[in-house]
Amino acid sequence: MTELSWEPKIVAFLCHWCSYAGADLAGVSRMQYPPNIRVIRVPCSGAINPLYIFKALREGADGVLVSGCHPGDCHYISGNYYARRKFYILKELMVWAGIEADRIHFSWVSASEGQKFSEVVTEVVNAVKQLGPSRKLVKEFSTNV
Amino acid sequence: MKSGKVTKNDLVQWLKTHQNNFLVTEKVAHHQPELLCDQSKEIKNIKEALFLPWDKLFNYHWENQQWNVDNIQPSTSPRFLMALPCEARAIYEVLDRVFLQPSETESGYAARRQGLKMVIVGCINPEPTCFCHLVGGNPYWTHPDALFILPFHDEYYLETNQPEQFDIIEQGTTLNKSEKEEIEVLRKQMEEKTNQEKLPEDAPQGLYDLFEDQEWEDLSWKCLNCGACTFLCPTCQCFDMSAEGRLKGFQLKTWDSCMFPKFTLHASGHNPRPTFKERVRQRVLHKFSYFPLREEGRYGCVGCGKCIEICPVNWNIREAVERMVKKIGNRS
Amino acid sequence: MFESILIDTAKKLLRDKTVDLIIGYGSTHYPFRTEPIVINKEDQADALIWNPFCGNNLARYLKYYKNTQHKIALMVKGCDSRAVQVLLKEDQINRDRLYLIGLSCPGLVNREKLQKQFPQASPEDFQWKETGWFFHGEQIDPELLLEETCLRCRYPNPLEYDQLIGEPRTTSPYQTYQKDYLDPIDDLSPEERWDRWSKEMTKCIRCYACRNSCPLCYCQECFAESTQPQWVSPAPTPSDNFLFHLVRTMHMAGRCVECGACERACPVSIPIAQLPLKVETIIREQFQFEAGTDQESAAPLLTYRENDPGDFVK
Repeated sequence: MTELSWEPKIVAFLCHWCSYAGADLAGVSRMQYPPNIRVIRVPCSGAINPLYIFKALREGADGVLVSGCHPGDCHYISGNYYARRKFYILKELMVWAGIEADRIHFSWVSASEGQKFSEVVTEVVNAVKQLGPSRKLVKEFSTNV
Repeated sequence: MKSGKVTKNDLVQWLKTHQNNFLVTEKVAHHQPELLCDQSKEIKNIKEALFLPWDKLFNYHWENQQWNVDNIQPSTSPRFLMALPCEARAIYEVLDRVFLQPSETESGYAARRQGLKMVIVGCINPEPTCFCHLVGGNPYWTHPDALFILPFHDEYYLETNQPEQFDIIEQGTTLNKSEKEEIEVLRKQMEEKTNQEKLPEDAPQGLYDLFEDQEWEDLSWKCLNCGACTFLCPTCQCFDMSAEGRLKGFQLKTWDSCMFPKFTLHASGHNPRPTFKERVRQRVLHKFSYFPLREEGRYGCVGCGKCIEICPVNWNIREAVERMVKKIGNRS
Repeated sequence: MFESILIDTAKKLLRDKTVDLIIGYGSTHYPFRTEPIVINKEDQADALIWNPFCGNNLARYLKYYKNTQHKIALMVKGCDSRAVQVLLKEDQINRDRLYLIGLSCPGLVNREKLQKQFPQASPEDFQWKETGWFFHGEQIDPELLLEETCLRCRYPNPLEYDQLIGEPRTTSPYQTYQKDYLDPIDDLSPEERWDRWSKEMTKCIRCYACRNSCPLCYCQECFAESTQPQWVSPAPTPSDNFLFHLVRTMHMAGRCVECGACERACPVSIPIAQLPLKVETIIREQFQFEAGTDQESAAPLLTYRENDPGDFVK
């Protein structure tokens, strides 16, 4: 595959109550955004285990987007606050381990922010495109002793 | 057989001409660093050369409503492998007997084994953890198929049966009578030591009979059930198989360890080795009872002491075996 | 180092039936090595030892006794006592069943460093005294021999104990080291850090010695061994190895007590304790929390503040 024809694959974990509805609104409002994301709906951004993010990268995702309700608006009252701490540590650790910071993105998108959702996705896709295909943490079975 | 002594310089030069694909075990690199060449690749554990930590067995894919299987041709490229006698025994006495049985030969192992030329480096400074005498080995053990090297009076004593290795011996000088005697005496001493210290003949059967003994519980208490000992053991040969990929992928063979809780877990949920006791007992008995009972008294352990050296809690297989063997004596 | 006091204490505890068993350190046949032992009779107490080679974190063995009724005496160093505190907080063991024999710890000796500094030396050449360490009567600079994790130790005294063996120590003299330890790695570019870790991860054989020696890794089933779903492959490829260590680090976030048991257990010498150390440093700076130092404050990932850092979220 040449650089030109390469399109990133981005796994997006969207919370059921806000971001998923926001994505829906972007859809019904016919807003344009790049078709590179594969959406996985989760109950809450706080339900996202760091394992999911690592697993996505291992299976070859070029980027990961996690999106939930704005702080204070969580359907479960505080799930996104817990998520914020967890993701802060996760992102710091991943960058420290040497993984590109722009592989993993987090955002707050409410159910009424279709516009913001399309902007976020555009931004994420552009950032990941800048990085090129992911090779770190991707499962790799070609070299052996 | 041809033997002789060569200078260090000549030997290193000769090794260099074969240095492509030259594997050296960590132990040799530690004991005899002067024998290493620039290209030699250090391996942690001798079995990595033949029994890979992970290996693809075959590729598969789903097409036209059926499974299609493509075999993978294992590499047979010739390689030199330099190892200490204990590690070499792991190949000749244990791994070959497991993977090269005529009825069930492991093709990948067989192919890699075919291309392998062994260089055995006599062991001159055994470590406190070593116990090769106990299991029938000795620091000067060699095999007719291998080139044997022993540091000898600032030079190297060489011995081989392989005509293609005669050239290096011809470069050096032959041993005079007193030197020959010296080598013989050294060998004799070591063989006698082995005869004296070797575990008793009835140990494998005796240990087998102690299967239900309470002592295993005490012995296993401090074990953490990590796989460090089995993964760094030159003779541990257990492996696991899994499929990597759903509709397209390959059959993956990986090392497994009897120390892991899932080692013998059945699909039903039943585990015949549910606790540390059974797992530790399995490790000891497989090497010191089941294997020798099946293989004419050859132990499945070569006494290299690696497992004792690296164990996070100093679990000592030698001590455990000696303790259990003493029990055989007490009972009779 | 205060071994006679230790043995007397142990004998008394068993004689008075204060405890049913004592988990401590014993000697081995091999130089500069100790092993964990468990004793339940008074006459076995003479086997107990305490020296700078007692590296295992014995809190690890408490999980065997989670569902028993035993009263257990445990030898704890500063870091081990923190691990016990985390276990208490996570309701893994009851404090009433524990008798903590605190050890004022001078730090542990790294065997590799010892062999490098004093090749061919045997145990008889050394004296490990409370007043210092000596080689043939000459004092040794501890910084030459100490484990990396002990050079950055902040808690040489146990934080929780029923009896302390030895005099309490002033705080670790190696504060500078602790401060600067991560800096050289932080200063590398992400690409250099990746190369550095990739190199380490090719060494990993996934024996799980790090996990199994950790007192706080007590899951019934580890994610790394789960097959349904399979998070990491059993094959020790560098990417799977790194994934295992990164996820384990995330599981340890806010719980790691920096005892270094994982690093000492590693048979292929990967500086594995650096990963949780980085996370603990972040947590200390951002969330003002240190694992195992108190019983009251909530674990950092089980709580939140409305003004937590959030600039990284779009």
